[in-house]
Amino acid sequence: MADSTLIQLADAVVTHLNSASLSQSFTSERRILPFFELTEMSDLQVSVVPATVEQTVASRTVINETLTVQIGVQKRVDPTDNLTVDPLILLVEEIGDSLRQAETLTLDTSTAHWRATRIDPVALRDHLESMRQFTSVVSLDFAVIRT
Amino acid sequence: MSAFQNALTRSMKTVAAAAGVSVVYSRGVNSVTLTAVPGRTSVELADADGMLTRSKIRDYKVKASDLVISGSVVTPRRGDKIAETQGSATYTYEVIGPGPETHYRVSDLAGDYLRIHTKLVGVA
Repeated sequence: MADSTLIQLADAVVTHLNSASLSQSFTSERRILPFFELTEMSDLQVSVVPATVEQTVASRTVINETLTVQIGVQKRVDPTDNLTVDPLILLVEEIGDSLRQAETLTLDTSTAHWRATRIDPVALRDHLESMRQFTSVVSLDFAVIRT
Repeated sequence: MSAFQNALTRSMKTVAAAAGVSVVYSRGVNSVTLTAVPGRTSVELADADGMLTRSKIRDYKVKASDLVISGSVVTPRRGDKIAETQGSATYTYEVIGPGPETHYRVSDLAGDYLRIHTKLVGVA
């Protein structure tokens, strides 16, 4: 049985990120429910989460799908030290740029076209305060045409 | 100091002697070994767009005057670490305020003892 288009997209994002040349090395994983212990957060954690599917009619036989995946970037930092936080903000931007510049990702059954990137939050204040942990979420919208 | 405060101070000493553990309190490369009384231990789950992080919270009660770093009595600072050895494992806790709370508070009338809020950040 073939994976859903959204899962195919999330896996394609993982493959893309794990082969990309970015300022920090990491191995991303697809996770439906990213769950970590704080003790694991001394290492950079990058999670690709299948998020939403929106379908609209293009014609009687064709639908436009907007698929959204979220990429969580998390690591413990010293929030008072910009030298530990700034490189992670750079990495988050690089992740968004890398997937935008790829323009398309090849899926098993179709091609996904980049449409939009949102980085929100850039750094979640609550996690910085309560865990000294950097948490950022990159949301990426891709368009897929299906018949 | 009132008789009541005297009694409280004596009771704190008794608790420290009976339930205290030896810990290493460090700030950067500087550290001090002191006796601390472990207090509340609980677990907290933080959520961000479905991205969950679980942390173990532990409070330590210490004598304020024991907190001597580089020759000076200091107050706890976020990011300081407390290492507690249990058996063959060393648990490292970091001074972090739980949510909006401050990361430490005075825990007796005389101000002799501090309750420090920490979270587990490493096990070796």
